[in-house]
Amino acid sequence: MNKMTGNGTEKGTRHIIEEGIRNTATKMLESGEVDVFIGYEEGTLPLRTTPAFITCPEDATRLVWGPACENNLTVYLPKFQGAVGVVVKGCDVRTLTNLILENQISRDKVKIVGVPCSGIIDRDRIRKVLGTEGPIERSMERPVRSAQVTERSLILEGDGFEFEIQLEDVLAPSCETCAYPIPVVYDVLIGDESMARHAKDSEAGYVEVTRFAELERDARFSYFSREIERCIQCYACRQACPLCYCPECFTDRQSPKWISRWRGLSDKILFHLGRILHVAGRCVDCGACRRACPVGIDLRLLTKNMEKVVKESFEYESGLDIDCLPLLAAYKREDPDDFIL
Amino acid sequence: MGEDTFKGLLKIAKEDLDVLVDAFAKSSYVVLAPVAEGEATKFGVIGGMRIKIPHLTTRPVKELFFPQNETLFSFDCSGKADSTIKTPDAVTPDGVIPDAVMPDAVATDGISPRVIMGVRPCDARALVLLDYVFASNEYKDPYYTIRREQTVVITFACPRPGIACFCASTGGGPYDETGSDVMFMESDDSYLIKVISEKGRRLFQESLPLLKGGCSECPCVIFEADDTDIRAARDAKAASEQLLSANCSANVPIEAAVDTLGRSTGFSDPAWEEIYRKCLGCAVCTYLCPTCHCFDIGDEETNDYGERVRNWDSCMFPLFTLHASGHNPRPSRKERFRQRVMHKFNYFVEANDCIACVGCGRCVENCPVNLDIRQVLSVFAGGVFA
Repeated sequence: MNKMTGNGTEKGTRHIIEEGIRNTATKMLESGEVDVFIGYEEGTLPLRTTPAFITCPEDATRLVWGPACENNLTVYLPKFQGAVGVVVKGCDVRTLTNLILENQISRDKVKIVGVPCSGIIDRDRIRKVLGTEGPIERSMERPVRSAQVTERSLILEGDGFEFEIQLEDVLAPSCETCAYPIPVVYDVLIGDESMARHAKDSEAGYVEVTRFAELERDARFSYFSREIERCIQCYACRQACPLCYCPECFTDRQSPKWISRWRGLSDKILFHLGRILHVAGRCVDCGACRRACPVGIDLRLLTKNMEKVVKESFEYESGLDIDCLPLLAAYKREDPDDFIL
Repeated sequence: MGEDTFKGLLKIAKEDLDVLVDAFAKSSYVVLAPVAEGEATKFGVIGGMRIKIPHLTTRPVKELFFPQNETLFSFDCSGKADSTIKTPDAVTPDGVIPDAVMPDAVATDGISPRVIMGVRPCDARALVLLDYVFASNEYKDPYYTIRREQTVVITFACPRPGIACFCASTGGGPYDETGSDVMFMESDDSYLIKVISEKGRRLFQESLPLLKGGCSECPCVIFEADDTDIRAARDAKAASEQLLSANCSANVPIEAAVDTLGRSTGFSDPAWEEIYRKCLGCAVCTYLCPTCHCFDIGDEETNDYGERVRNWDSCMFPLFTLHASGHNPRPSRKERFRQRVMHKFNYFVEANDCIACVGCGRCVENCPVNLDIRQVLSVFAGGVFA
């Protein structure tokens, strides 16, 4: 099977974290502190893990940790009855903070198991690296048959090739510029802070959107349209987003019908802009929407820009503080009013 | 598949593929093949581009027959138009009916003949399953049927099935000919060509003379395959099947799962309570599925003009079954996930005597949370997927 957890013989950081998660889950389930423990287990494909809902302490050994633990598991929390333990990375906990602030889950129902994160891998990026510098023609094959993780690299095997990629070269874009790899809120922190990736200044994440904003308006719109046009309206971005928890999304309203499934670009734009505006001041750039998109639409262009606008306007970064009001529920005299969010 | 797979084969060098495509185009066929769209791939008109065959396109070929959106007819209430109800007169090569419409019944001659190159055997097989729905003896959907009739499907056998592939478990295989008019098989630097159907024969009859006319130095790029070629192709097929069966996914216990789901207890099996849990409720699995075919019909209107449209729908969405009263018979993701599995592996079986899955692995690969249908089926088969 494909080991995405990097458990070699040496006790690497990931191994220590994985052990920590398993022990914590066992303890929490045995003591009855939680009814369910949500973490990651081995997936069925190389470079994949899958969410695991553990209810028996003995099943805790299924839990894994590694750079393929891509899903933001807090997406499952608003629906939960009972007490739940959840594994969170630095970004995931910030969506959880928002869920708590927005009364979607009460703080005492959730045991936050924080993991010092060293970044997760981006499968699209891996395909690109394999294609441009590696052994296969880009996007022409499903190349990888098995994968192994070492401390710093991935060793990918496919038909007639073995190829090593440095993890650093294939991190998810959100991870590359992550400012909060260590969870800001937790009940238990697995391992210690030194195990996390070095935090970047949050400004580093805005370089791309700033560059994009400098383009001519027509160039911006044509890029944006080209991206959105590809949308197949599967709503995976919405479904993967922990903060898109509305019981009925505006896109699903029939009366009035805001969004048509008809092939209009304008409907697709309306959906994406509508969704982005709904997560303004809440989005933490965990990248779940981008990863879920089956056709690879550059959704971070929108989310990252929104994050930047919020930060510049209100000096607010979402999900860092558990004792404040949500941004859009709060008012300060010095709030600017020179724009419409 | 018997030994006759390799009888009467033609042969073309890989580098001459584009010459053949030109000949198809010259004999008035529109040629479609995999095209890149951002990070994804789908089938589209290739124009003058070189053909590149990916392992499997992100989007299946079904949308060229059953597009995500199509106009069934339009209506005009302004009082100025000649006719109040109009039906589409043409279907563009990429399967979209243009907005221009004309009176009377659905025209059957509005679509030019097309060739789709580079379809994989799983996708071709899926078309035969879609035929049960849209082109059965009982009911023929004119929009779908005309596209099927006017299309020659050229399948490329899979020399290297991927890690998510499980076609052999669903009754197909990397060299399965079901649904193909012509099949290309890789053999070293060449493709061996097997003409399967009458439509395929016609395509070659019409195109090959043009091929000869196009090049006087070397009159033909198509040859008859000799014994060496056939041996190579046979080896490639064996290697492909070997690769697939070495694949941990190749042996999905579908029959046992179908049996469990078909019992009176299948619908209420306790496994449903757990198995759906990680499902996010998006439509990736259904929209990228080559056999999913659910749709919604509605009207798109402006003041006095409107179109009756058919759009893809997904059983993963709550809106799919929401009643006007507000009641929803499939209130949670559990019921919705069950519906998808039951439709493919029970209801479709009851109606058509075959499962509605071709093992392409798109849902496996693209599910944002790796909820793997092979694993689901293994659970119902009483085993563990490993």
